[in-house]
Amino acid sequence: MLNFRVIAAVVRKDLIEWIHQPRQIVVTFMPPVLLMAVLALSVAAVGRNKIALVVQDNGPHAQQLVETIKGFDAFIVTDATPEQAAAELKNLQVEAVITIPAGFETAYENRQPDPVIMDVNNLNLDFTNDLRRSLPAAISDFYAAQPDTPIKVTPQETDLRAHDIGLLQFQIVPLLIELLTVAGVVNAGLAMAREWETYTIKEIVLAPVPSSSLIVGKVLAGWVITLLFGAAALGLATLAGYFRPVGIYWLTSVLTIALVGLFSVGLGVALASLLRKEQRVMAAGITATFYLFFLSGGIAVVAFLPDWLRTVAHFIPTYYGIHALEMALFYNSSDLLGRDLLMLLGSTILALAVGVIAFRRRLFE
Amino acid sequence: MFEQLGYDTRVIWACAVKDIRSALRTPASNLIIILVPINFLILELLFALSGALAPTAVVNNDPGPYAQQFVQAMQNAHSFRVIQTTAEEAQREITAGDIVAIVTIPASFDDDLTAGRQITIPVTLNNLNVDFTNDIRRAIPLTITSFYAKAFPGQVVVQMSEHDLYAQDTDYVPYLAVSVLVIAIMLGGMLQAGNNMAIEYERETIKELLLSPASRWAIQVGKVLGALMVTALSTTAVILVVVAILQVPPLNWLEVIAYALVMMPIFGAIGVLVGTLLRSRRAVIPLSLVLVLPLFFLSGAFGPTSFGGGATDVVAKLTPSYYGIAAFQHAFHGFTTTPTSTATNVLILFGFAVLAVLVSALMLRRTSVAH
Repeated sequence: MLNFRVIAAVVRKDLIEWIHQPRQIVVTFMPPVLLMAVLALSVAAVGRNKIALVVQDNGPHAQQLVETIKGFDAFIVTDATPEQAAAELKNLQVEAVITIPAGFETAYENRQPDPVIMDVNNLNLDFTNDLRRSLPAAISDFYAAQPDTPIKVTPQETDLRAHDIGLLQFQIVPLLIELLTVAGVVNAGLAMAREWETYTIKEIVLAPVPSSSLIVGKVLAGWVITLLFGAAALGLATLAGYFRPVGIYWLTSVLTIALVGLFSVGLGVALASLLRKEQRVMAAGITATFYLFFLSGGIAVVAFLPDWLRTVAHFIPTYYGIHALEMALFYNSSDLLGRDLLMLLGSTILALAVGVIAFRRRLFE
Repeated sequence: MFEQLGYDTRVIWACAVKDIRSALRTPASNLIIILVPINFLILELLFALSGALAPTAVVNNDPGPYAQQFVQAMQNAHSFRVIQTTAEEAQREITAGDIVAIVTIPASFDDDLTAGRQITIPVTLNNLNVDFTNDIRRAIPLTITSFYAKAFPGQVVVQMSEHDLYAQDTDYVPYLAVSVLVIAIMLGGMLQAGNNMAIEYERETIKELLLSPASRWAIQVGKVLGALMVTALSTTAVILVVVAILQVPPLNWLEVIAYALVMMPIFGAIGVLVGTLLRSRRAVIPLSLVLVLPLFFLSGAFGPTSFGGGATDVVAKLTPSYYGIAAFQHAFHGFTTTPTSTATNVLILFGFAVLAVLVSALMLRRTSVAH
């Protein structure tokens, strides 16, 4: 039988202890906040390449191509002489030098091969491929603007989503999930491990109260702490305009956050029961949450992963949490919501069962 | 003066030997410190594996030669992982999130092209985020132009002619693995040296050290050297993983060994500073783990930070890992990733080490009053 006074006492005690652990609070929000800061710093550069543009032909088509390149959103362009451009490339100030050579206009008019030269610092395939895509794409735009364009093939785009989401905004959902998992695993895990380290576990075992009430109290305290972090992050992101759920999607968002939080608490309880030392729980817990973050598409879109890794991602509960929140918070959509909630519920029950069983076994050892 | 120097040397030696002996008695902790950086290496490589090619279904309804050439142009566009499939299967895959785009080549593609008629290619995009969506939006026109340049060379004459600075491209994983290696060495050094220092506070043996006539800087240098044994094991382990398992051989082994020998005490010195400031392993471990991930993103792990420019470049230059990554990229691939030379980078790294030891000695002096 559950004793609600005992549950309330355990929750109160754990919450008071938590408030007096500022380092623990800092460790909880540091990973997502630092990652967010890094993303905010670097997001402006993502998808854009710094180039120096050398123009050696003043013909009208050459000038049109110059304007196209300058207006192309994939490039950050600086005009340069050949010498300046070479120096900038050498000093890593630009990734490539694009040269429109003398004779461009004549070759274009005579329908002769008309190369636009690109000198690339190809030290990394990621940057290099961006450039290899962008210059021909700019040339495509140049041709599309010609009245006598020979290109008769045009793409017709249909988007699955009503609007695009910016990279920084898109990353906030995985970071929110990271915050929830760190909060659940670290706080619930440390609250448990501390009982062993300070030997107060003996008093808990010897207390004349049902052990089930103690366990429920512990889990509940961890969950409340996790939800506090979740609520704060959700509120701040909504106020900042990053999230815009409407009506029922508030409910699905809160439900998803609650389930991810409870799953993380179960994981924290299991880890603490297994490791019983704060340092070990902290090291293993933070590493585990990073794995969950990466494997569930924390940085990359899961579809881009190799097949085997995509299969692994489908076994990671936070993958479903991220999907459910993205749909609700960005698109006001319930796309695959049933699947996501079912997987989260199943994972939560499993994590709690493992955590509680491990805790009970350790309790009476 | 020489007497003092001799005494300081003995202090350094005694502190280092004591920490090495302590480490030998805790094989489990050593194993964790060796495994954590390897773990971090694996973790970061999961990110590298995602690659940049958009998984795209192509529904080709025309068996003609031009349609085939169009598919070939898509495959050569450095943008797509092309999966040729049926319309139904493509729809199922995009709904499940397994692909991000569907390109449909109409049945009359070849006929319309030959007749000079306008052709529309339907492209369905799962426009989840603007980063990869824009890549695809650029890659489709690129495919079309490349296709024309090959199929009708006399019509599309303006083409890109590429000249590369390096003889061969370096793939994402080999480049990133070297950057991760530096962060892993940093993590190993910070954990070991930080823990060694924090233990002195936890066991209150710091009082004995501070009450002795030993100079603070000598104690801190001894602590840095004392952490080297375990850090060397962890560094060797991550280098072996990179070289033997990930198959990223260095261009210059001597450089790799030299930079590793330079970097281990440097990151150890930073670890000692962290341990002195936090005085608790409970704080040192999570802080080290939590700091390395943003540092990894900040310090030019993906490429020269000057390419990104702005605040990232400025912040990166304040981190030792930025110079460490530059040194190792040179040793493994022969790349220059910073405007400063490799020798300057190594000198700056030395500067970081001296600064870390001086600041931690200063902190030790201050804390000695409060302790």
